[in-house]
Amino acid sequence: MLRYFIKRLLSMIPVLLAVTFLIFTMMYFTPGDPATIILGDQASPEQVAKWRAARDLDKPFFQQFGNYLWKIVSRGDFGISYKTGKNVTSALLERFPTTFILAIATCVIAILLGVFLGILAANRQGSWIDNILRLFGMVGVSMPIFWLGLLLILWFAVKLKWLPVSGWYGPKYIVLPAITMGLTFTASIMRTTRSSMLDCIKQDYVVTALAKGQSDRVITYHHVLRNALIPIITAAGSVFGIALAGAVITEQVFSIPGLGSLMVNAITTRDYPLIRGSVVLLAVSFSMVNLLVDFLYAFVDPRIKAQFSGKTAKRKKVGEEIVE
Amino acid sequence: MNQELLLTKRRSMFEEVWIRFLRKPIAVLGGLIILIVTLSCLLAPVIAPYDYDDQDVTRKFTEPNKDFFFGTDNLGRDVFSRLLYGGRISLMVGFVSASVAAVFGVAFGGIAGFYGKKTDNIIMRILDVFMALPQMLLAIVISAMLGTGIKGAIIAVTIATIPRYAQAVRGPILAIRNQEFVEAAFAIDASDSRIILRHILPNVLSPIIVQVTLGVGSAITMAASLSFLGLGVQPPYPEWGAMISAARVYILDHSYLVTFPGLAIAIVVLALNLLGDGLRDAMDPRWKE
Repeated sequence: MLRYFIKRLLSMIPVLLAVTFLIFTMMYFTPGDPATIILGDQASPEQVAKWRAARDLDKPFFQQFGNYLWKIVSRGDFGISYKTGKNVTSALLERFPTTFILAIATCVIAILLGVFLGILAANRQGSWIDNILRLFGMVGVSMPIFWLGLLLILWFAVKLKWLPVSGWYGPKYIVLPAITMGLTFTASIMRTTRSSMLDCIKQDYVVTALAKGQSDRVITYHHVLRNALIPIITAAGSVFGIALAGAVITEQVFSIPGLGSLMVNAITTRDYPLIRGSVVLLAVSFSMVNLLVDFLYAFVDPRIKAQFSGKTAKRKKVGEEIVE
Repeated sequence: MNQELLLTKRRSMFEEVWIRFLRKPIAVLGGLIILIVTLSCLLAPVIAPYDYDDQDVTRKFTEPNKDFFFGTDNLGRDVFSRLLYGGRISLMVGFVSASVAAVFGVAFGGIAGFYGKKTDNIIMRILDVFMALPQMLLAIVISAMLGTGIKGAIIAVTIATIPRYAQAVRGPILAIRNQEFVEAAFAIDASDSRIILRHILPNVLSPIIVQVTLGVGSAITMAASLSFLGLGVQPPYPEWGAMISAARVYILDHSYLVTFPGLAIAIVVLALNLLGDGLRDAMDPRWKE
């Protein structure tokens, strides 16, 4: 099992390096010289040269990238913001928890509601509840997040005055943004849960359990849901990742000072170090979540565990075949 | 029974799919909605009562009435007409980026699945890098690099969604690659391109069509989100996301300005999802009666 963890952890490194390179390259080749954007057209050539030299911008591309990467790896230093002159790392660390909390709250809502509704729909396959839930799921995935957010603000904050309109000053402020994102993701988790449950309900072991006289409850939660978990975990994992990215939009709707709004502001002011830093941080968190999901798989699916803890080559091979 | 079999006309695959598709009223409804919306947006210059940039401040913020179905905005422009013109941009961005992304995605995924081994490894590792970023985030970064505008939005959405199509075809192609009829084609010395185009691709056509149908919807949403963030299509062009973005300041007093463009996106995307789901069911051979 440990071997599997280490292998997956190591396989993440080249991908993250490549992502950093990709983002660095994209920002490097973005048209427009940052020096003239920041200093203005009136700046003298000496000023521009000095400004560029202070930020490594006069060096060749690969040297710039090397320095950038080295600073991140050795000191966690993402450079200095062009606009504010402050350290990018501290800005990122200041904003990250907000986005993280928002993503977690979103996931909690989406998973609880999605799994519950999915089970409900699967147990009553073909009934009116199932049909209504399917329609709800369809509508849920079709609505743009920012529009849903604005509508919820309109109803629950402006008309009913139950919750604050925007900002980030306490637990009350998390509710609407989390529901906004949570609802859109509930739909996908619900659909996955439903179809995965339906696949499992048809299996022989469910018939066996029925024959043994197990109650519906035990069958649903112990026999079916347990086996249906893997696709559900995948869906839940991808929800967390997408929630991190979706936060970029949601934070904009609700004026939340998170990583997403930091990034959008950085884009509008062309503050490249800040854009790079926030994208890299989001990519790292996204990959970490995917890794966690993989570990969770191994935890729930004994077949994957067997593949890596098997002592003989034969057992390993069998495991591989099953996984494929 | 035998006689019945003899009397049944042989139908082509497309006829079969078409017949099965027609049995799903909700999917047909989805298709009809797309057809109607697309046609009315194409005919915007004929249907729309006003031009999309026809300003008249004397009639600003008119609530929806019989002259202005969806009201007017802060510059007195007719929201209904703007929605029709805006639909041209939104739908175009959706259709163009989904189809271009599908072409590249299918090419990458196809080559990876067909040649396997090293080629597969290289292509999939490169796509892994793109997939290490959530789609929306990737689109945001690309459009930040390319700058604002319709072209930028299309390219951003296209590049961000290519890996998804590649992944969707690679699996099925890997599976088909080892089947007897492909081996037979190799045996008669057919060229690689002929095997891919004539023997393999037709067999993975249905997942591709389904993916593209669903992909158009998500491309429209992504492009609208970009405009909402101020990165994609810019005013005065009435792209649906840009309309919502411009109207959010007035949401407290004139909520219809936000409601209608959002409804337009939601309805079109919903219709595409219904259509895609219906097509999936109709094309899946396991559904054959």
